[in-house]
Amino acid sequence: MGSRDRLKEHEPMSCQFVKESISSYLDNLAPAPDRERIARHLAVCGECAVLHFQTAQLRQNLRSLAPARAPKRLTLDLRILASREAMRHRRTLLGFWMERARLFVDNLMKPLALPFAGGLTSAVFMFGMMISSLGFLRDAGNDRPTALSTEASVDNVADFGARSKSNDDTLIEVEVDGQGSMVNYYIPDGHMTSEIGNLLLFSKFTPATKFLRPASGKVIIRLSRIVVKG
Amino acid sequence: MADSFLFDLNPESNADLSPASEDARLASALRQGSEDAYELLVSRFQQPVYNLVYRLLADPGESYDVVQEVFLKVFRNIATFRSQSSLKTWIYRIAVNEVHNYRRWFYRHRRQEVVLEDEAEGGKNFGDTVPDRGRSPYDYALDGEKRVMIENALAHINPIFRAAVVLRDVEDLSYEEIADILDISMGTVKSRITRGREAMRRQLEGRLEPEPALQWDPATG
Repeated sequence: MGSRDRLKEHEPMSCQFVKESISSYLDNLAPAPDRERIARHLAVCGECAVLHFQTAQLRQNLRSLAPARAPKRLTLDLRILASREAMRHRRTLLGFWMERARLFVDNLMKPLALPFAGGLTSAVFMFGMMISSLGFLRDAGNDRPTALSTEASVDNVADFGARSKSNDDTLIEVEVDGQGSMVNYYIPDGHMTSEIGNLLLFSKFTPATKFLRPASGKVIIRLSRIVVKG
Repeated sequence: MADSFLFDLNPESNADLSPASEDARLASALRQGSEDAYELLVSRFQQPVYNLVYRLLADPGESYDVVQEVFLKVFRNIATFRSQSSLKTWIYRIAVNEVHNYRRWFYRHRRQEVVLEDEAEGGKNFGDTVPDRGRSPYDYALDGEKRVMIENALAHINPIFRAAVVLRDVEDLSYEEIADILDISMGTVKSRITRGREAMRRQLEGRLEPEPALQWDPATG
């Protein structure tokens, strides 16, 4: 602090300056040197002291004013308002996120939509054009019948020279068990020969199936008489 | 979902939080639409905001409407609260602006209206006929006259100075907070408070007795 400032500190303050500074002085916002000078001035100046007291009293009276109590109806109205606004905000929030999701999907799909549609159309067209010329190698040897039931069949006929004695064909109805063996036979013509007996004994049969399981079934064998002239 | 955000209403559990973080937490819950947070905001600020608005307007009926507008604006603009000031300061700023808007609207429209009820009610307006629940007979008996004088003096000073005086002397806010609320410089705050107090002092001169000043010694005060 310079000597000039120190001299200024001891100079008496004007009433005008004190009047203008009283408010800051009461709120402790006046600078420390000014505070001391104001205090000294108030000690000797009755007019400023009254002004200071009145302002301090006014300040005290304002501070001691009881708070204006809010009406109870206002509390209720504000709670209703809060509830309504909270609900509106939640709706807005949901709408906001849905709108953002829709915009995101739109932005994502719009550039892809035309290439996607074009690609799909050309792929279908190309496939349609090429399907007739495509040869697919198919090995059906190991396929199992998928029908619910199949008939018994002759797998291998033993050739013992069995033939019909008459000019007509001879029919033999053979009953085959689940293992593919003959369990019974019936010849409607009624002429059983040793050759027919051997044929039935040594022929192999494929059993019938029901739900893919071997089951008993019937096979009809026809013996035809073939005559070659000449 | 917004309701899944559980805001703890128990003040004891928030005791370790600083006011700034508590404000930020409340603002965050409000942004998420938590109904608990809305209720907490109302219960915490309803009384101070009403008191401020009432002191600025000096009319219970008008204060009632303005406080609802203030809270509506708070609810709808909470997303703009950036925690650069306290929540209280932000809400007070809205309240002061809303009072200013209301007063401007009033002088444009209502001033020209002819109030027919004046004669029927013996010269009383709506505000005068609404029962003031804040005043008990005990209050009136204790310091009713002085209080009415102070309130009248406050109501009759320039609204610009009144806002500064109310925020400083009634709401006990710092000069920095007042500057933030009124969006003015510190120097302007000082000037407005000084001029507001001086205007009130002139209004009350001769009515609030200055006798104690004659016995008062500033050197010891």
